[in-house]
Amino acid sequence: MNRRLRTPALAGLAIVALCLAGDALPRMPYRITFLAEDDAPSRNAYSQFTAAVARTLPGLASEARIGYFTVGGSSTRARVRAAIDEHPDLVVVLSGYYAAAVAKQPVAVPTVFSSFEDPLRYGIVTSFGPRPEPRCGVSLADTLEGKRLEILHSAYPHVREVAVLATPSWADELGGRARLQAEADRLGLHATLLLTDDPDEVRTLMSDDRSPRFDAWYVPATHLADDAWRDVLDRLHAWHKPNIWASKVDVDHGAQMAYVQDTQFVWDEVAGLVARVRAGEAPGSIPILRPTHFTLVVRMTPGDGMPAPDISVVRRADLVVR
Amino acid sequence: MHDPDLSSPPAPAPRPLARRYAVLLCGVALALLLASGLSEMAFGYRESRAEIAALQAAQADGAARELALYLDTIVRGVRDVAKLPWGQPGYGTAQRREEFYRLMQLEPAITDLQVVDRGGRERLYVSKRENDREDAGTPFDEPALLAVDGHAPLRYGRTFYRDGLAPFMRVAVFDGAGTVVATVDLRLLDELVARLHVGRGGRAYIVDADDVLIAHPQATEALRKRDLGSFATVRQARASDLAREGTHEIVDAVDLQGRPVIATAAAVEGPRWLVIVEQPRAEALRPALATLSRTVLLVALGAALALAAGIWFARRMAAPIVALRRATGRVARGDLGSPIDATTGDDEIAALAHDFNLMTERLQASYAQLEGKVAERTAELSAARDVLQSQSIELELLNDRLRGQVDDLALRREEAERANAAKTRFLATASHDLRQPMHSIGLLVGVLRDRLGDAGQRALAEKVEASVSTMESLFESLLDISKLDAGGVRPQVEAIDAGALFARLAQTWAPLAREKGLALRVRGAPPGHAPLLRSDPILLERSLGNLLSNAIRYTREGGVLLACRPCREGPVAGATCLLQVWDTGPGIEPAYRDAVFDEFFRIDDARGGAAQGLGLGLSIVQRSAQILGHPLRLRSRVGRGSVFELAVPAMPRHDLAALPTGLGTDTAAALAGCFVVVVENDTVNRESLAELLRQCGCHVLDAVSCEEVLQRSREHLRAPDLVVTDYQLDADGDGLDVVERLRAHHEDALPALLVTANTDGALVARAAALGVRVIHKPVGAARLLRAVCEAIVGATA
Repeated sequence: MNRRLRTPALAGLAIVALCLAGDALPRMPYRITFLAEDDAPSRNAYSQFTAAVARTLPGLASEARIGYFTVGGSSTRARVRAAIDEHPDLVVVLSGYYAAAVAKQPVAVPTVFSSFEDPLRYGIVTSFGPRPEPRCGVSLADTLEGKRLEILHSAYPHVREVAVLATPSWADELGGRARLQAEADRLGLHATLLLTDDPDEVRTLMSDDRSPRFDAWYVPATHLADDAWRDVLDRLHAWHKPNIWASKVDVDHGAQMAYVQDTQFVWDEVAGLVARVRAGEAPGSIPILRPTHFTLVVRMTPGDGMPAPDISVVRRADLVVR
Repeated sequence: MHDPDLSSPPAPAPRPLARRYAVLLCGVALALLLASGLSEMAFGYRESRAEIAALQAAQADGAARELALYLDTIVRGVRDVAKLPWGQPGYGTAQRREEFYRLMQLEPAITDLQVVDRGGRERLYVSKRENDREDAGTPFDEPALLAVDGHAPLRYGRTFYRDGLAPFMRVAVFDGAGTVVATVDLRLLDELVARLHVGRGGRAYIVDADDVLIAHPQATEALRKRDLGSFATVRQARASDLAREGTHEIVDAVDLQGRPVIATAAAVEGPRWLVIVEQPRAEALRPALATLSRTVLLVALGAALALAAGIWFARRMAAPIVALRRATGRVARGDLGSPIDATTGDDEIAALAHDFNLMTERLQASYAQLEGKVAERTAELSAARDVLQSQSIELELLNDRLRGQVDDLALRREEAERANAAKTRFLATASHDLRQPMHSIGLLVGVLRDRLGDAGQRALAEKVEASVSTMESLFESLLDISKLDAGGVRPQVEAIDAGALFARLAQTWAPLAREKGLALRVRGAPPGHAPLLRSDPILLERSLGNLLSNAIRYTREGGVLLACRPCREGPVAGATCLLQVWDTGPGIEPAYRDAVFDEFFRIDDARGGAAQGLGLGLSIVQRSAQILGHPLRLRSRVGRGSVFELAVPAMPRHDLAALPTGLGTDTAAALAGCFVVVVENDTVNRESLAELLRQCGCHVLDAVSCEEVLQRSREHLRAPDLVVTDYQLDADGDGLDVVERLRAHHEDALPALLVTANTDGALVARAAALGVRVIHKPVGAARLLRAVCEAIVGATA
């Protein structure tokens, strides 16, 4: 062979051989770290997410390795740091609090999140539109306080004093207090915030002599609704007090009304976002999704002693539980 | 037997005929297959595109209808709400709110409903997210929508974004008194387009009237507010106005990620939306590509079969011709005894083989006959070769004899040349040795003649001087002959005024002619109008002088004519002048016309008459003419006279005044006051020359050497006007060395004359290089003074 052609030919053969060898080598799995607390709801969320991946994106499920990394407790920040130090390809976190912890890490790792907290206020993202940080997800921030008070007022026009059972962070960090007071004033209601972080304290709070004197109760979407619903509903049923919640599950548990923004789409959307990031799309270029469906759920159980809501509210309800 | 390989160049390797046939057959078959395959592929591709277009048009139309139905459901819901007699008993605000909530419940895409009065103020607002408002009276923020009435009861608003991201649109319906405005969340359209299936990898999406993407299977895409106005599909759809024309054309475009797709658009009336249906190009064209692949495979298969068949047929067709070629090859190598098998077949090839066998048989017979003739001719050639060989030997002998004679002749020629050279050397030596004392005699006689007071003595001295002059002439001629024979004469060609030349000749020879009672006339060279000649002036003047001398000498009565005529004949006509010397002498008989040019030949001797000359003049003329290249011609008539003619090249006459015309007539006057240095080792010659110059009024410094000149020149306050020196001196080198030293001393181009009896050509050349004129001894006083005068006047001029 001509000496001048020998070197380029050998180099070309070497490149081809390397490419073939690269194709022949087993591919490294796409490592996804699912950040959550080590509790039952989180485990349930993990199951929902993996089921959505398997259902909607079977290809991704086969090539990705989704690891469950527990965080929480007093060392949340350190645990998040430990999770990121393992250099995952992608972090999935279905909590605004932990998503904010990930966002505060010095190393920016691609993240798909869902958050009941406002991602802008929590510093998870800087914009719902294009942004520099490699994070995308779904904002489930609930700002329907005014609408719920309005429904409560429409269902029970005689209501004037409304107790609002919530957490301090909901009231202050998420802006619930300000929104609530403005809407209450507009409707001519008097809303009293009963704030606590401890579900056990809810019981004490409900045992207070002043509690039965409120005309109605509103329980926003905080962890109190998940952790103390039984104690609250027992008291409210005993007092025959109208109430409105933020989740259909609460109505299933016995609550009288709930105005719910749809969250069931979260699993499929988060799985879809993971697939898009895996395909190479920049997370910062994907707009933040928000719920589009709202559902009014009303419980009508004659004989339970609870006052019946106005018929107009029952007629406009999307779901009536009997 | 004759071998053709020895006499003819080897034939080039033939290109196999079977291969050419194979190439031809396979090429034709492949071309047909290729043309067929290409046309099949082209038509298949077009049909596939048409099918894709039809399919996508159906899909786009279906999507557009579904979308229109979706919007129509919303609009009908709003109309149902708007048609009721609101404001009348039983149709209050509470009922209206209830009805609005019912509508929003039925149509989840409607998120808000408003009632706006004719003044554009909000009267009722019901929302899923926001708190309801009654009689707020705030101005409606999209007043264009309020232009609804009984004739145009419906309007679609423009897309707007809530919270900066989520796309919404309003629909306004006239309710008889005001306007009911429904706000539609367009994000729900994502679910609608996600349900539309366009192949496996295709999708549908919606762009609004401003070409902004508002619905996409990937919900986040619709949140980007992407303007797709530059997309080819949208551009073409807007340009063709699908809603009006109802036409669909598929477009090769790219999707939102820049991947190639084939897309079709369908318009949605009302909001002027476009539903775009696109499918990855590879997927859409998969049937066409499958057809193309099958066609290529079939063409390849057909090509392989055609190739095999072509090769087989080509070999079969070429086989008889190859056999014939091999047979002709055998014949070419001389093998005429191997016929071709012509028994198989009855076609033209078999006939050709038969003819070929017949031809080889006849060739065989002709070849045998030819061989006999060749043997016969070979024997004859052998005999002739023997004869030639004997003749060649004889010729060799003759050649040897001739070569001996040539050598003998060369020896004799060399001897003759040596003898001639010896003669020349003798003449040169003798003339040189004799001229030295003769020179002294001439000078002394000149001095003596001037000092003699007695007329008789002076007459005697003049006779002596005449004798000396004759002897000088004789030696001059001998010296000329010797120089000409020795090749020492180099002609110095220059322009010569024929008029001046003829004047000098006339002045020189007229006295002699008058003495003999002859008339010397000159023709054809009037002063100022005579032609210019190209020749050596000395040699030419000497030659003409000799001719005139000869003519005067041998003419007893009549006259002598010196004429110059332009040549009017021959190739040199107009560029040559004929210089002629006519005489009325006895003429020259034809027998002597060549001999007269021989040395020492005199007609009087041949005729037994008295001798009058030396017989050297015409020899000198002939040799000079040969050196100059001037043809010499003699014509003569016995008893009438002769004419000698020299053909001399002429040149155009330009400024005759620039040419020298000679010295003044009064030599003594010209030399008066001149300072002349004389260097001569011979005392008699030195003193004679110095005395002669002093008589002409010159200041003379005579010395025997250069050193003496330099020493004595300090006594003089001026540089010499001329140096006259002998060549051979006792000290200080030769005369030319003296000239160089004196010129260096005076830093001047000092004119000089070299007076010597040495006729060596090298000496003359060296003197010419130094600009020194050479005068050969013996030389008379008049000639020497003329030369001195010419040198001084020439230097001052």
